Amino acid sequence: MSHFLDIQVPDETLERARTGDGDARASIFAVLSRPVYTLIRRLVVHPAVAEDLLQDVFVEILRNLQLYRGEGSFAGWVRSIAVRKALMHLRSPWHQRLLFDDSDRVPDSTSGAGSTAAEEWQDDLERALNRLPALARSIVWLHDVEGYKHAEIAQLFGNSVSFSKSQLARAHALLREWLEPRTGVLPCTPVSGNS
Amino acid sequence: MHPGIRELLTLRDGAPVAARIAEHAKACEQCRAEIARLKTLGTQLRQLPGFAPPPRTWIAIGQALSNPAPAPDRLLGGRTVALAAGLLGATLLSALLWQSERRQVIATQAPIAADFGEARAESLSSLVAQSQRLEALLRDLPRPAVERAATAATIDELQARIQVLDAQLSDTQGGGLDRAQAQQLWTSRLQLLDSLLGVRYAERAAHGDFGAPNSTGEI
Repeated sequence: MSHFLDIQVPDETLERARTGDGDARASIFAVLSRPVYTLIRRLVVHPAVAEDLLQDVFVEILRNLQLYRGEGSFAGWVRSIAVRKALMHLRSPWHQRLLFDDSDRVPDSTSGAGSTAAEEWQDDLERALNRLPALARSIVWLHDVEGYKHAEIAQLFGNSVSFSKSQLARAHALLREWLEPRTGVLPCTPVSGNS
Repeated sequence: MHPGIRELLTLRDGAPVAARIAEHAKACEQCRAEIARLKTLGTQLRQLPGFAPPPRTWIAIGQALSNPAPAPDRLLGGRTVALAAGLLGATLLSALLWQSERRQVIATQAPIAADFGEARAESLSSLVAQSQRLEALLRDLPRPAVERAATAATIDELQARIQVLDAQLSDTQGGGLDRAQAQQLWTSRLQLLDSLLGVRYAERAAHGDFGAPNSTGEI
């Protein structure tokens, strides 16, 4: 499940950060910047864009701490802002073409010689994930890793639950196609055409 | 007949499916194996390593926070909503102009970083020419008088990376790099320039500086 759910920020730190305390703000950044950046990188892939979005997310969070009223986890609130920002970017028309290319723009982080089979598998999975279309990649990450429900994803994308399920199925069909030689598992023959 | 991947994912997640599908999957070894594979893949996705944020990010955030934030009451005012709607429209218009212009350049000249898979296979002279064209587009894009700290930091970083590449490429003339290495560096330079152009244009749009295309079709 998502790393966000394990993150705790003490109420006292939040209270001090609300008053503009620099150390408290830095503590929040220290504990949440990595999961936020990882989430954004998984959704938008492009490192420079992800970095800009990371800054935007934290500026918004730290300026609006008074809007968090303690209902639900603070990390969950932060995650919802990060997801919203990343999806806004995905929807922005000027970046549509960049997103179609984004898998080509990220250098492969291969483990290199001497890596274990598990590391090689991770590299393959990472590459396959980056190769997915942005929309399908976002939905597979939000659903399978962050634990969003289809209804929540549908709401985020302003679309139907069926849309979310179809995109998830599409993503997994592609991942299976690209990774299947490594799994050795025979795919099922679809009974219907909606896979 | 086996269910499709959509139904198998539904079964993996423990959500309800049609009775005939559930019964089939329960009895079918192949479907059970596929559901197990999908479960394992989900676990492996969750176990992928995270990304460390760039160290300079916190400094840029600190700079942004030191600038006054827009007052909430202004954001809710009717005039501001109208202004925001206008800005949004203008942003979309300018973005479309930018995309249109980019497509025009891509369509009428050699591809500009549109497909880096192809770019990698291109000659050095073609990569250099594409870099020069992107630099010309950047030169024609004025920087705003007031910049967002986060965007400025990103631009600075991209420019710094380009400078590093330029320093490495200068070794080519001295025979320090082979052709493949030089080609890789030029491809990277092209990618960075393309990213920089995107960020610069977004910055320009955010500041409401929406110039019409000039006589050459450039923004």
